[in-house]
Amino acid sequence: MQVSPQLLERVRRGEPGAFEELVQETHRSIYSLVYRIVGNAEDAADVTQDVYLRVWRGLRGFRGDANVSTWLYRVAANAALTYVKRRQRGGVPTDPVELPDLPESDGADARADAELLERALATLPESQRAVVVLKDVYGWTCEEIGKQMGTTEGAVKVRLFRARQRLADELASAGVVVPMKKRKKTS
Amino acid sequence: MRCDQIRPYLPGFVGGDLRADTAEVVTQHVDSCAACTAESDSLRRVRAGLALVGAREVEPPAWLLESILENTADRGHRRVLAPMLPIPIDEVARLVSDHRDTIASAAGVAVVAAGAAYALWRAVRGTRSAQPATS
Repeated sequence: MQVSPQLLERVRRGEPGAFEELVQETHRSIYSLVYRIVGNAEDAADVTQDVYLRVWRGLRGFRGDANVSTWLYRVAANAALTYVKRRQRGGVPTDPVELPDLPESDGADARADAELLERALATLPESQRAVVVLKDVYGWTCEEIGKQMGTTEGAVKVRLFRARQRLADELASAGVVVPMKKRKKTS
Repeated sequence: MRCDQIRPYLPGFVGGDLRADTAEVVTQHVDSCAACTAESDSLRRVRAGLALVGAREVEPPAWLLESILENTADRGHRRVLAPMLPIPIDEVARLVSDHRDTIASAAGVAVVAAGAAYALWRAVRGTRSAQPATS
């Protein structure tokens, strides 16, 4: 997701149609991030709407020295994490979603792994899912995630390692890799 | 070290998320252990797969774009109606809602103060009009 500085400037000047253009260019990426954190389509749509209201309100205060895409992702992650935290008290379950096919150039094995993993993400506990999505899918640092979630870097790492291990176990149970317990120990 | 001591560190090892001294111990073990090497390979495959997950977008519901635009356009009109406010009108509403008690107390104090000021003004004016004129 890339937003040009020119578009941002037009939006900040209040140019007619500029904010609509920003939404059109970014809403798929923002929805995807939110979906991967909240885990179901209906909630993801609600949270995405909330994200753009926050963006609308926050644009006046946006300093412009940070990358606007990074800022949008931060607003989205914050809204999604807030929603998940509130929902954990209500205990609403997550649903699998239909996903588009990956590009052919990625290779059959890699595409199969990614499809399996995207579905496996939905089965993770919410706190583990949020961490592994932000770290391994979107490339955030553990420190950034900790700040966003209001927790320590160490706590983020614990969740991250557990999530990776569970996902590896999912690949093993799907027969993609050999499960650890079936391997011959050599030390 | 034994595999069961090393294994909890492997998910961090494959992502480069361990401290240097811990990573060194894990590297030494993995280099000499086929089982932990295979486990590390599985975890690397997970990371590679997750990086690919981010490369594709989940298709949002068809109505979402229109709904976002409607919501923000509605607020845009409200912003036009309140052009003198230094912050959006939604924010004003939220601040009023969050600080309702404080605002009610301040309003009460303001009414009492205005009443006292008026009474004082009346008293001063009455005293002046009662004074005899001096030529």
